[in-house]
Amino acid sequence: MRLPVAKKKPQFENTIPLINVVFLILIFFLLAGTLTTQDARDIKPPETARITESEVPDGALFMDAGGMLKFRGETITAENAVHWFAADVASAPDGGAPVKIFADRAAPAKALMTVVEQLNRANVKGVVLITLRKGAQ
Amino acid sequence: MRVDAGTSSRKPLGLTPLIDVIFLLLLFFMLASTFSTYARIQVAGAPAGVGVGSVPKLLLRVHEEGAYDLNGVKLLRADLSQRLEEFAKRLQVGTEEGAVLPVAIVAVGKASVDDLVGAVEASRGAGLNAVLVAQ
Repeated sequence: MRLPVAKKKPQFENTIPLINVVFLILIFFLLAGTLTTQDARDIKPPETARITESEVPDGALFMDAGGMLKFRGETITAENAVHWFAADVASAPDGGAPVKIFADRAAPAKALMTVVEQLNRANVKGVVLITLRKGAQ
Repeated sequence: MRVDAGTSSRKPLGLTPLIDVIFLLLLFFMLASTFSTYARIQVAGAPAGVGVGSVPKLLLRVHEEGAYDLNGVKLLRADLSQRLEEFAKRLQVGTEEGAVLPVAIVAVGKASVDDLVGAVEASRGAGLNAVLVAQ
């Protein structure tokens, strides 16, 4: 008996479903994720359940569990940070945006209070703390 | 002169570079993005409706490990919201409608940011304006 010889199909055809799926996954990550800096990943912010105003940690002043400040990936002293934000406010025509502080939940509250107080005295537009929305993780 | 008219057998477009690039993009977004959603609480700069120079009648001190005291009365974190709401109601009597009463929040000892945020959140929930006071 003679079996029909299978037709030779071009090889690239097999990859098309793969590309489709990879494309879909790509689009999912593009839409569902938010890009964050490495600093944001090392710090665990406190959780809040009632507060719903959402925020992104871009351009935030980071405070790690030891109370050390980091800004744009570099360690910074409180004085320098306050100077930087004060200059930023002075140069912005509309008074600038509120200063975001992304503090670790285990950071000493006194260190945070000191920074907030200094920023307040430098007449920034406001200071906001970034927290993790509970139940969102 | 005879010139070879190039063979017209068209090869199908190569997909490999495309897939390479898509894979790279996918890897980048998978590694760089997070799914955490962040919220913000204002801790300085007066929100609307707060009169300048309104003196806080409430002092909330934040001690370490979830212990608080409100005007000297010791509290745990679980009771904080309820007690603040009670105080807020009592103080609201005799003030003008829509006024936001301030509560001064002071961190004592080894209090952590988590404890502090708990205090601010509870104050906001009770309709009070949290004012952080540094020592």
